Amino acid sequence: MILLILTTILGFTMAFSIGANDVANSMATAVGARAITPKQAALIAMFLEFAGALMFGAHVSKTIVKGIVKPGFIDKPEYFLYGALSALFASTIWILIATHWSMPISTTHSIVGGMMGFGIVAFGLESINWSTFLHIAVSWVISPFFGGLLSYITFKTISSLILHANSPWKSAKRYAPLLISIAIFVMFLLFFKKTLKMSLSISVLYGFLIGAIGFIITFFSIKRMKDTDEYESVENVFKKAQIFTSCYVSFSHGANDVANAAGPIAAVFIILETSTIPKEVEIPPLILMIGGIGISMGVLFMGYKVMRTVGESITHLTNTRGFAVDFSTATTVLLASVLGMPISTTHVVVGSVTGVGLARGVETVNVGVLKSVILSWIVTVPFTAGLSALLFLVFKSTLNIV
Amino acid sequence: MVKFIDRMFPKESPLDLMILHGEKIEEAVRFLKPAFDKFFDGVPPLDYSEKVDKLEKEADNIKYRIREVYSKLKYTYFGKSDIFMIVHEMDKIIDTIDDILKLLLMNRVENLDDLKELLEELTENVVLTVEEMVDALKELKLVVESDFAPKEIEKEKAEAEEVEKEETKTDVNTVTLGKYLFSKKYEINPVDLIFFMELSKLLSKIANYAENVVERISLIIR
Repeated sequence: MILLILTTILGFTMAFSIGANDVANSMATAVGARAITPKQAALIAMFLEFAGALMFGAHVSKTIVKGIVKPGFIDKPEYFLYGALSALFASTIWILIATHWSMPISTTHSIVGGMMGFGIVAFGLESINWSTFLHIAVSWVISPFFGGLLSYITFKTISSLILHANSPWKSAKRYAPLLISIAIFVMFLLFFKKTLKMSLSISVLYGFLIGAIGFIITFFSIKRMKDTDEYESVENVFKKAQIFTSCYVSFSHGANDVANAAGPIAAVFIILETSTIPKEVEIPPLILMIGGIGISMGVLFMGYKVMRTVGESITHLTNTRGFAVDFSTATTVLLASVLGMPISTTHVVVGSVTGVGLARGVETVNVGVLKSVILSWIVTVPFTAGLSALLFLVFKSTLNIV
Repeated sequence: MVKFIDRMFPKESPLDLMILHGEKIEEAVRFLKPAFDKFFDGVPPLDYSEKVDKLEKEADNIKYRIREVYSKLKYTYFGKSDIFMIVHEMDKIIDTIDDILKLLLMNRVENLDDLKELLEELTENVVLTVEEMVDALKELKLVVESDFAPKEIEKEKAEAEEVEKEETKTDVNTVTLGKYLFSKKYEINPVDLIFFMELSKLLSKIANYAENVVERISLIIR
């Protein structure tokens, strides 16, 4: 019981720090473009992070619980129990160090490294599911590129359909609802298919219907807007659209990142309940709720300050550009979530911004930041793996676990 | 992680800074006419010179801020060297305005009403050239916001042509002024003649620099 409480507290703390730090990923572009105030952003993000965690969080959490250490090798459940705790401890310590030194590390990479580290020490090298790990590692590299490619295509589409049109304002009224309805379609298609486990054809049908409703609502709300200056009016249309895409990012972020906290808690919970890691792991909704609440609380209590800071420096990203960044980030993260791939939302944002930059959408982008992404790939996993392994050995010897 | 996104963008947009720099130049160039009025009334235009001095310092500060934006490894859709060249030419404009006002503090002349008219005409066209240049800078912002939409590029080119037309007018004014001065070589004090030739050269240089700015803008938007 004490162990479960300790794990829950640690997991909650981690979820809180994820919410506090990463909220900027989802809402900063909308705040910077003055689409919403930092306070509104924090409130919206709080609810959507929670919804995303609850609705889609199970897929990635499962990967954390049974995708890194092969369940077949877990002959001593207590090892796995203390291992999950060590991984959580190691990640929390690493995140605290990184936050203190302003290092751009990923919580996702930290927890994956942590799970791997104790796994090697507890059950040997062969216990690690190297093919899953390779998939995860590849997804870390691919996801920023995919986000970048998608944002490049999205921005170029907005550019050719709207900005280069004879009347950008009229084109914006026509195409913006279409782009928003595509986002709604993708989101609900994945929700019906992956979370509610409906068939593909039914999911497509329902997704299409909800997307169509979204199209009608946005079409009429944009129609009522008044034309001022040509490009200003276009930006105003996307200002409204950006509120939606920022929500989309918040939702996706909750879906992917809740696993970093919920995964280890779920592992401890399952072991305490069943004394084994079953073949088919079901993540209890209560654990996703704990993670979701942790993220939401982080957003609520710390997000406002974070949002204000980042929002001020991101003003160069106009609404059309912000829309492209948000849409691409959210779609990439949500796709990764339903595939069970724990990726870094921050890195996808960086990729998406760079993509818009390469499409000549942003005046200047500091590509030097990309070095930090690579550094995060190289440093985080070995560090948290080492620390988690060390903590596991400490637990093992002090608590005399055999 | 917060700083991560924060670090991706410069604190200030280089284009906005360039427009701000241009507005300082515009403010300074508009002091030329009243300064000449004072000069021909026999009053040294010290107040205007001081105002331009202040504007020059502000423009210098903006220039450093533009350099700061480009100091780190950045992806930019305008080449660093192009932007620096444009800012350098803009800087020369405000420096030249300052030189003209300093020159007006050094000498005093009397009974040169014909010359005053010719100088006024030249000054008016120089001011127009600079104003058109600032309009071209503002249009550049629209070109960027529209993601280089062909119709905005056309508008920018039209702005550039306007500047070139105004600059041609200042060439004509300079020649007329020169001819007048040499036609009066036996009547005007030789030192005054050199003085006015220098003034006319400096004024025409302002228009040339403005033309250089828009020529480079035309090149980078292709």
